Amino acid sequence: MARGRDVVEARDDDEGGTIRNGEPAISTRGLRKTYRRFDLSQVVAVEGLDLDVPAGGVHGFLGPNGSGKTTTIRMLLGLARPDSGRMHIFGVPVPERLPEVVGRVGAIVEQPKFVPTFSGRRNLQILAAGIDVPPTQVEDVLERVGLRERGRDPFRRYSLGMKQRLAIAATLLKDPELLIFDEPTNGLDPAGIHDVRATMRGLADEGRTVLVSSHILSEVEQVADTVSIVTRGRLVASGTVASLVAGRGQVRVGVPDPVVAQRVLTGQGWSVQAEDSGLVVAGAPDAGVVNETLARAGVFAHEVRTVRADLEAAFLELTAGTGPGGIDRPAVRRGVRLGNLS
Amino acid sequence: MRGMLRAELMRVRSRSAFWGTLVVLLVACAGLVIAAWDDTRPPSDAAVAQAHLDLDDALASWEDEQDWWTAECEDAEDPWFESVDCDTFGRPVLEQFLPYRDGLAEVVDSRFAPIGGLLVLGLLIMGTSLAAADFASGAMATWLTFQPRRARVVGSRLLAAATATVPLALAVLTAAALGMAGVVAWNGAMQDGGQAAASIAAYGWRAVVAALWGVVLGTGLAFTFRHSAAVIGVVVWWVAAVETALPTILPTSRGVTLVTNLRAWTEGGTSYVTETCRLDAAKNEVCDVVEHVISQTQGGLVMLGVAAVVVGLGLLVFRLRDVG
Repeated sequence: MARGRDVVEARDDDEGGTIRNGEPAISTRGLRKTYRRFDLSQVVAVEGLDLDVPAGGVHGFLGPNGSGKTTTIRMLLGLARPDSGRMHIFGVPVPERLPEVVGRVGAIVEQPKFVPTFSGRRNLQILAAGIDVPPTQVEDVLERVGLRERGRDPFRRYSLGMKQRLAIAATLLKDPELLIFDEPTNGLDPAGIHDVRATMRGLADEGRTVLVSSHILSEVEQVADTVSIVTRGRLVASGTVASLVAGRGQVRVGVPDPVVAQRVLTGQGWSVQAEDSGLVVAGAPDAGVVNETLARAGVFAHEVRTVRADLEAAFLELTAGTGPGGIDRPAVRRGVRLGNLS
Repeated sequence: MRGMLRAELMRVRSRSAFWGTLVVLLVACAGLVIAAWDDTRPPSDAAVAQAHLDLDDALASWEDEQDWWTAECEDAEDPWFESVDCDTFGRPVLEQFLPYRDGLAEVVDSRFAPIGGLLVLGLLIMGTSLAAADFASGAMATWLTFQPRRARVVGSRLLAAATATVPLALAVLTAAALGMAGVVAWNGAMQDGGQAAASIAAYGWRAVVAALWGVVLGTGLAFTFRHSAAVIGVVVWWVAAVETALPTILPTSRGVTLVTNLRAWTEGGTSYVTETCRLDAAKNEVCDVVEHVISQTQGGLVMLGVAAVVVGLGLLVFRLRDVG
């Protein structure tokens, strides 16, 4: 898989495995997880997932609701047991040897979860005591996330943004090499989203690996070096953002007779959708080829324009489908915002 | 493991469940101390006046029947009567008409001994609450991302809960003992102080062990069922089905119920009776009453076995089930 940045150097670590150049921070092979419903029927959450998260940089973990992102993260952290498959963190098999590497991994799974009646500081002090981190470190991480002044307030009185910041502070107690953030910007206001994004980028720039699952694709696109896209518990694409969006540009065409134009373009094997007063062509090499094809067929366009491809377009194309874990493409076309789908 | 224990002790100390349990148990003990005061208080002026009136009536009757009493005494063959002054035999005295007052030893048996049961109930709830609250809030999942060894998580929780239980139970027992001794002394009914102190010590250490059993049981149940309401449901079902209904259907099963064995432990032994009835030759129902004695040792072993099973089950479930 292509790497966004080269920050990992070979080194030995007496806590766990040895990180070698090019070895992923996280690797899963054939990972499978099913849940049983009350009626004893099985739901497949993760189905043979092969995932590689390169060491260093921010890696986006994308997929629609129910695609298995959170389940995968929970399995990596030992909170859920896989039915089958193998997982490695820094080359160490987990969950069998998770205790060897857990000190190098900080994670927020779903919403930040702390004892609601304890203060933010107390919650961190307890976590710190458990891993023999000195209490001064608690003040440092509170300061770092801007919660030192509110450290005495009960966790339940925190805003969602403050809870998220406290969770980030908790992950920083370990000074981890790998940070796993599951939907970290859920429910945050724009300023909070900006802060979290900046924090993730900053952590990655310090040489850490950040795995972020998110449904806000624009957020991931801005901050991620590499991404993996899953749907229905399977990996459908992974690589750098640039490699994923390459070749997924669309061409918007304005023609006097859309029916004829659509027949001509479809005949080339391209995907054509009627939209408003024109057509949107996907799969064509570029706008010039589309224009030339129409002209040869005697159809003269009054508008031919390239629509820039982005991660959202790639995501929609890769996760198209129906039912849980995939996106109902017609619904997307009807104008459902992607931000509400995942 | 030391760090985990330190963290768990911090957690227990910060929990309102811990302090709430202490307060509730102290309030319950205050009720027992008040009951002890009531058991030992001197009779009121009205009661004394009434006793004098009753005594006067009884004396009048006795004087009318004195010849009969004297004859009964003189004719009695029992050697005990040789030391009795038959002229005053059967003469009523004031104490017979005053309300009975317990001494400290009796107060310890009747009011201090039940604290063991209270501690078990309180610590069972506290143990459940301490662990189940973390499952409910999701804080357990966060904790596991720091401490993934689940057996150690359970072990440190149990150890911390037990460590916190000892001072809590001692505080409650000490407050109760001092309170009862104080009110008994205030009421001037302090007799057999040495025997009472020995009883307090005996009941006390058994109550501390029972409290430890309660908190371990509560913690084990919380790890098994993960929700306080589920634990309450299981406990209510157990009390209704096993502790209440089963002995009604099968009287001999009382010997294996937890309540009987817990009582055997906290009270230094207990007993229960069963009746075996049959028809005699005259077709009358004749019942044989048999007393079954449950020793303190048996009670302790049953409690130990139950705690081991519940904790083992909790550990197994916690290791196998996903944590959300």
